[in-house]
Amino acid sequence: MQGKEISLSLIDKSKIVILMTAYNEEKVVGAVIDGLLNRGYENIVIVDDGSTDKTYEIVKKYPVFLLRHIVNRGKGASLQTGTEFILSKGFPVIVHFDADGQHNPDDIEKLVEPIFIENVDVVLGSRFLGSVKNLPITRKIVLKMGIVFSNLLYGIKLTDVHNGLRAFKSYVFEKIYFTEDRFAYASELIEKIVKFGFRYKEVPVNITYSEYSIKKGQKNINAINIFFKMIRRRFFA
Amino acid sequence: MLKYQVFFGIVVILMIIRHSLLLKRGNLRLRKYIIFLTFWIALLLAIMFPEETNKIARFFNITRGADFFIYISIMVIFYILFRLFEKMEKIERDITKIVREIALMNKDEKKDK
Repeated sequence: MQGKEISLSLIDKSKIVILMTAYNEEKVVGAVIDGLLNRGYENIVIVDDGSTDKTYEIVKKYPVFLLRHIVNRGKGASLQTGTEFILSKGFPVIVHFDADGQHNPDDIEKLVEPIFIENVDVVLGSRFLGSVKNLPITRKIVLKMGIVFSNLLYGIKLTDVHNGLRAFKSYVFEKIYFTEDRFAYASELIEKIVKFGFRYKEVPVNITYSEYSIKKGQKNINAINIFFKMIRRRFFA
Repeated sequence: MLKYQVFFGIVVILMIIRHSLLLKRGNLRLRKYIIFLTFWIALLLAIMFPEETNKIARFFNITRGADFFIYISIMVIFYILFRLFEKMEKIERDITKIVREIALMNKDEKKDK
């Protein structure tokens, strides 16, 4: 217990920047930001990905860095935009966090701990090592198939590959550039972590799916598109 | 001359006129105009002299000239589709770059709100 407290005290939250992308998240984005601010995460970058609702106006009221895509370009494109901004600001640690409320801000400490204490470049959150609530069975099957396929394709052994909760040392993004604008970026990320030989680790995280986040999240049918993009990237790029 | 030859012949001639006008107005590059013109003239010849297309088809061990043209057309259509897809992807990437540039230029700096 004492060891845990010592390790957590080594985590300097002022060095951490939370990167969120938001597309039509007016219903939940305020609560998500409040959750992060209440836990002492003061450096938050939000990329509004061309929302057509009040997301931008809501986020504007918060003490966060706000960038706006004038039209929707996708999750991968938004993360790249936010990353370029963060690199210009010089924050050493980046955490990806979803704006739809399915991530638990208490997991961030667990996520960044290996970055501060161990010699790790990338920490990937795994819902299958941790807990996942209300995950529809069809989504679970698609995710599991994606994990098996990614592990085979990239010669790795991960338990989760499309989980949006991750932490990085910023310099990782001097080499990793997302060219996939939409959800295929998650596979591109794994591919490049392996390609550039970054040290990575998985930690258990807790994901709670709600009716809202399931509706807002990527569709199962999109897995086919991602599958073909992975094949193309691996063998024809 | 058979009815279909008159009908398709007129359509092809209209297409040649249309492309020539596009070239004249500067809306079509000469290289593309030559490609289109070659295609339309080949089609016109095939319509006017169907027996001759049979000869070409038989050279490739295909019985009918019409079948030969269908095979060629499918190949051309797929090639065009591929090129369009490629072009669309490039445009998508360019749009993302522009959108990103605008976002980074107009960023809302953190304030104590």
